[in-house]
Amino acid sequence: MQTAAPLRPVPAADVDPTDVGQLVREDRVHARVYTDPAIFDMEMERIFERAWIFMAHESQIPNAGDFVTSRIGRHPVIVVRDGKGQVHVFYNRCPHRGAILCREPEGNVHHFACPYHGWSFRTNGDVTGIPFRSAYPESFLKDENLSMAHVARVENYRGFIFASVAQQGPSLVEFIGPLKDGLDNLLDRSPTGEIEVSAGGHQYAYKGNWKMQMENGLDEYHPPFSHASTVKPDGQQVQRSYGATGGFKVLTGSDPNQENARSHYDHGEVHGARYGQAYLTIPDATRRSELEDPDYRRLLVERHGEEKALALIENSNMSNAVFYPSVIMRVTGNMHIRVVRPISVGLTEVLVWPIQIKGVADGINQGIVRYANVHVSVSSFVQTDDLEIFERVYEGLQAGKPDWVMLARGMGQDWDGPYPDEKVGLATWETGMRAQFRYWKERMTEDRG
Amino acid sequence: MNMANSTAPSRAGSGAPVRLSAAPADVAALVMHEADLLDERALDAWLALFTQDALYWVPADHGDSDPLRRVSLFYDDRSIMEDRVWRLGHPKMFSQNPPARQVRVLSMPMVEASGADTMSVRTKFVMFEHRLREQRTFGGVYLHELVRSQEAWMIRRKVVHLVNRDTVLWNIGVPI
Repeated sequence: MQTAAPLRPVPAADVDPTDVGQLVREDRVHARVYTDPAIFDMEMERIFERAWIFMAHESQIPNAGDFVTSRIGRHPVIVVRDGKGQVHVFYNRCPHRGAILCREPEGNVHHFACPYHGWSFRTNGDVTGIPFRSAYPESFLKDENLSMAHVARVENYRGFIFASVAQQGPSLVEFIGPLKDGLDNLLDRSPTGEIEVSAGGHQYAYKGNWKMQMENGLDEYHPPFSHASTVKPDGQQVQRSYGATGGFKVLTGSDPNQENARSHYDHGEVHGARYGQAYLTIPDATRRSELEDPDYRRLLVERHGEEKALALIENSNMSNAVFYPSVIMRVTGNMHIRVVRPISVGLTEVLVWPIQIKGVADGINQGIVRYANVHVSVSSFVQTDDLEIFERVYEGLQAGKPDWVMLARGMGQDWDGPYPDEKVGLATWETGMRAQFRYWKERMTEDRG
Repeated sequence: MNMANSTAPSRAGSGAPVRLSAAPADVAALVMHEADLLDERALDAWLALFTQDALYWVPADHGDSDPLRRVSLFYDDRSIMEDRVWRLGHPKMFSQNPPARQVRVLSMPMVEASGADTMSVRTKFVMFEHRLREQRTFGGVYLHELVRSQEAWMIRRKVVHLVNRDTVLWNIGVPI
């Protein structure tokens, strides 16, 4: 049971896209969007084959021949840097008879060689060896494309590599919309403007739908309840960083069921924009921990000047950026990249890579690694309860009734943000999930002629 | 004597495992007792076996790994160990509600190194865990670094090398 064997979903029945449209309303979604294998199959095609999917950070493949393997929906892919420094994303199969070319999660190769019949390929994908080739008709060798198949589009925004299997569609920057500011902000937190992904990763699975994790990245309603076991009697979470005397404030001490009671988290905001892109702004998240280190502050002031550095430290515009449908980036404090991989309708894998900041004292980066261990590992104080809840939701939704899952918090009260179609609400509102489902419905019901 | 980079099993320069001697009875009893306390979830008593500067480490990587620079499944100093035990007693730790039932089966503890008041022992283990209709199995090697204070052995460091430490795992609620 330890390894998440990829379960094969039941083959899709024909689902009429018009019917799928009925499953999403402004303030609620039908339970089937989380439990129906046929809908999952449609998502793999209509969402994961249209969107920009996060692949890797370029620091994971700094040298010629460095690669990581990944997935775009159901497609296994290889992300590799070729001899000229260009990054390619290939479908991970031999063009000859189909064997997977590369099973390792990461490594370095001179070329890719298929173990079945010995075909080999350069790191730019070109076929370079076809053993005993004279038995093939000359026209076949001349006319067929026998090289590794490229994924249609690859874009790199300041080191963050995304790919899309769709030939057409919005550019990466258009697609991620406001989250570009999150990536800029994250890099501005480095005195050199650079980060690296070099601390390895946590990897785990849960028995539930992939959208649960994507929604949870925007959910500040749940922490006082799901994470009650991390809250000390003073209302603060157990400490998680070196030198920190207390953790996040989670509870205010008043009875949350009182009329007019407000969550502590409502001092932050949640934003949801076009293409389902959404983010949280939680002011304490930006002030906590490593940024309180005086040397680190000084380095940031040197880079940005007093005013911008203070704005970064004290009032980030983004603490958690949720790039629909594939990755969550924690921009501040517990900086990490959280990749979400759907395996089947009821099985999801999550990979968490702590971010390391270039040009700061070791203690800062060690604090980020420690924070990730305690916060988002398989044995952590926080994420373990989230995974448990995702499983309880998947189990509960099998009940069939009631039909709907409610996303009505803040409905009709949210206000417009600066980005296209952007709506803003208080952090405990379900404004972000509503934006995700607006995009979901648009893609799932698209008339493809 | 630093076991930070110990990998299982102990090997000589040639790469072959070296032949070790069985741990003395009081040390073996301590290692077995520690496993019993975890099996029974007597976690305050478990914590009391460790020194104030103790470390509990479950690496996520095979081979040499620097726990300060690479993620670990657990890398708990005493303060994190105490918070973990406190949380395991919390009625709203949902991922352990219902709690997992566990049993650890240990091999004979063998001495890797010893000094006047220190000893390092390695023990292979299998742990069965049952929760919510499912049983899962963990296996690996425990490395205990012990110190003797006032005639009694205490655990200064426990490192757990799981055979499947670098794969996709499910929630792990209790120290292994």
